[in-house]
Amino acid sequence: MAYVLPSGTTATLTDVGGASSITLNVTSITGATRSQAMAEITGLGDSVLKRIPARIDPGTVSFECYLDDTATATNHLTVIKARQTNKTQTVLNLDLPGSTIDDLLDYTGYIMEVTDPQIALGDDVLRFTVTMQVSA
Amino acid sequence: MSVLGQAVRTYLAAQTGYSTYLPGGISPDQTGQGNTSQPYAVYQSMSRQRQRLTSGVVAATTERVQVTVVGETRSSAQASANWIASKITSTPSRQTVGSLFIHHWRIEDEVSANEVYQDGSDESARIISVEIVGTYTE
Repeated sequence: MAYVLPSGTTATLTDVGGASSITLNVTSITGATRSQAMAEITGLGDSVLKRIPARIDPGTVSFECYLDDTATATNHLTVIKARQTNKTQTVLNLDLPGSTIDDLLDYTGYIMEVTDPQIALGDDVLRFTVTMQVSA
Repeated sequence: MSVLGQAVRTYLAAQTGYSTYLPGGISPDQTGQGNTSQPYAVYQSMSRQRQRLTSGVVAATTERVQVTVVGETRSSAQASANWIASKITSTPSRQTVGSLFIHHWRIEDEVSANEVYQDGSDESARIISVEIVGTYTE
């Protein structure tokens, strides 16, 4: 049965140690591209290139949050930047409601990029993008 | 039912000059039964767009409301429409009106319809429509 994203999905960002956890104001999540590097083992006498699978790169995952008007010190943007500064290993958990695949899209890694919101006059909520390097 | 329109009405009714410029009041969709005072205004929702999170929670809603002012003369209808526009633009930013938190609101299009039948005859009503666009959180 196909899974259609229903209302009620939550995304939390937790320290690997479990010390602190925040529920993100996520507007979208772009999943990681998991790629397999290929090693070339072609011999001098071979006429065709030969490659075998080498290491796997778990890739990066990025998510977009809206900027909430909470105090600067406790704002999610501040909290996420602090995790980047402190090189905190972090787990991004997606809880897909009513599903049996809750653990399928969990990512463990480090905050790699944090993009401040683009400031432009308009009706849209202000959003910032976070990119996480998946490390395991 | 226009959520923003209701907030506009609540806001305007509390402003100085309301009874002068809108003696017939401001009502949703159609004027109140038995109203004989002009100018009066009616409002209706034209569009409403919600911005949601992945959780389904609505972070903010943008709504476009048309406020139609009806007056006996062109000048009275224009004066009332100008009064509405001046009151909306005087507090364009974050505010709470009733139970609604308004991030911003503004005046966009204004359209006059002074000659409805296009036959050169004097008509009983002059109409000016003002569009108000606002983004709010309920």
